[in-house]
Parts: sequence; C-alpha cells; structure tokens
Amino acid sequence: MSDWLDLYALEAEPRPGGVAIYLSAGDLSRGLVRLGRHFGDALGAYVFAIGPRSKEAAGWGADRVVEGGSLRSFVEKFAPEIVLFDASDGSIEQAARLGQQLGRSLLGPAFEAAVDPSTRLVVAKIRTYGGRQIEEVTAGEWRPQLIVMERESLPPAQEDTGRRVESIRI
Amino acid sequence: MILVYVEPIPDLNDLAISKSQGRVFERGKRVMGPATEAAIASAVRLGGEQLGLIVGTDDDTGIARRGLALGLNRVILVAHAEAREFDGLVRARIAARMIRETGARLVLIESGLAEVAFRISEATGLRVGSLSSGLEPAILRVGESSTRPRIPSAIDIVHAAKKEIVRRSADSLGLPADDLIPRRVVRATRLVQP
Repeated sequence: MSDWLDLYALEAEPRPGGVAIYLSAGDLSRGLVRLGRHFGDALGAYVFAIGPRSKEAAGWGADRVVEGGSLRSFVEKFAPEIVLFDASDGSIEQAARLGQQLGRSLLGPAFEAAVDPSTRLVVAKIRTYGGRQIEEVTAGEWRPQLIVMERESLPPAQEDTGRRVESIRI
Repeated sequence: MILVYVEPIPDLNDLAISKSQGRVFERGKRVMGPATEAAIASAVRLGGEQLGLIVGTDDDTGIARRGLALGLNRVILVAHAEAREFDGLVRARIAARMIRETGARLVLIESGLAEVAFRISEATGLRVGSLSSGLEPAILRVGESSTRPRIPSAIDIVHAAKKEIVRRSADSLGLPADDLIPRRVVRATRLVQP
C-alpha cells in the first residue's frame, strides 16, 4: 500500500520546465496568475511568479516565487515552456526585450489562450483587421512560448492560500 | 538624422470577407496610420534631415510618397514578398540594421507600436522615451495627438514625386535568412459575425 502511495506521489510531482508569469509594477494581475495556474495544472508543471510583484502572487496560485535576477537569467536557468505577460506597458516592454534577446515572437495581445496537454502547445486567439477576424496562433516548435494577454480578457482571480510556496533567488 | 519608422497598415475600409474561407482579404494597398503621420510631423518640426523607413512590399510605394509629401526628405523601402507576415521580431531586426547603417541617433515611432519600439531598443541599445522626455540618442514614441500633421498641398505632392525612395530588398541587408522568419504560426482564422 505504501508503495502505491509513493508511486502516486511520484506521478503527481510536477515536471521540469514550467509556466512563468511576469508580474509588472502596476496593478497585480491576479487573473494572469490564475491562467498560469490553469496551464500548470494541465501540464503537470510548476508555476513560477517573477517580476516586481511576484511575492504577492503567492496566495493566488503560484508554486514558486522568483526573487532577484533578470527575466532572461531566470529563463536561461529554468527553461520554462511558457511565459505569460499581461498587455500593460511595463509587461510589454519586458516581453519585447526578452523576445528580442531570445529571437522569439510574442503571441498576442490575446483575448483567449488554451494549452493542449498532449502537444504542450499554447493556442492564443487574437483579433485582427479591426476585430473582423480572429487568428489562432501558436509558437510552433519554438520555446519558450511568450504569450501576452489582454488584461480585460483574463479570468477572474481566485485566492489559493492553501498552496505551499517556495521562494527562489536567482 | 531622424528616422521615422513607418508601418504599413491595412485599409479597414477596403477589405473583402470570404465566408467560405473564414478570413479577411485586403483588397487595396496598405496605408499610413494617423499616429505615424503625427510622428512624421513631429520629425519635421524637430528639423534636420528626416528619413522614413518602411518595412513592407513593393506595393507600399504610395505610403513612401505620402511620407515624402508630409515632409520627409527621403524614404527607405525595405521590401520583401513575405513582409505582410513579418511580426515585431523580424521588423525590429530590419529596423535595427537600418538604424545602424544610416547612423540615425533619433528614432520616432507611433506609440501604438510598443512591442516594435522596445525590440528596436533592445537590438540597438537606444533608450525609449517620449517627445517630452528628451532627445537623442533615443527612440521616441509619438501619440496621434502629439503633433497635428499638415495636409499636403499640391506643391508638396509634386515635390514628393522628385524626392528619393531608396528601395532595398530585405534579403540584401546581410541578415541571416533565418532572421526573416517569424517564430509564430497562424493555425487558423475565422470571421467575427457582426
């Protein structure tokens, strides 16, 4: 019986990689944390919060709070599969700079995003041609997937204070 | 030298809707947005030599002429057959290359193109600011209401026809071919029902 429990614990252990959420100095985007938590649960991956307001994400669904270091140094060290940003000016700056450093496109600003657990690919929906057309875009084979979400499209926040949160210093 | 980054945008009044294909097609040529016109007006007001940079296709000559009629001294049109598919990553790589090549110390870009502005900043080391935050060396984001562009007169349009449009192929800039490929895939499109 104990072996079965150990095996279950092993399977429940999140895989390396993970989902990162960048939280800029503006209003805490709790909806973004919730979306990241949703992706993390779907992929069996850790959810990292990074950025000026990362500490405040602890009660809203993050597993690990990253302190110090740049976004790039975090990405190079932990190789997240997905990095989520909201479309605030501060977050767009971080997303654009990271994208240019890594040679990656930004997907967004998206009004909806979903992850396929079998391919681990995020499909982001964006409005084009003045809202007359919707495009579904992915990052294809390129990682990390950098997703920018419209703030007003994020799911409502849900407090998650029961989670054990680990702090990481880069 | 001041470089104004000009992004061709779809003419939303000249679109075709294909219900069977579930997508929008651009019927006409692309146009210049009002915020870019304001950026050109700001550049003209600052004086000196003003250069426009368009990353587009050979069809964007009309935008170049418009920029010249609004007061630009010269326009570089970096053309590529797949330019409509270029995203911020590719556009910023091309813009950064042209900024280095021309030696521009001040770049004006419309404020709605935040991603491209910060990417160019990352690629060139130029800081990002606004018209009120100080001048070169910098990338200044210009809002639509910052400077009202004047309506080009008939004489402006005639003079614009004599000004220079420098045509460059994106393939000839010395960038690796891989640098012209966006790192994103459009998986599907669908129409939004009115």
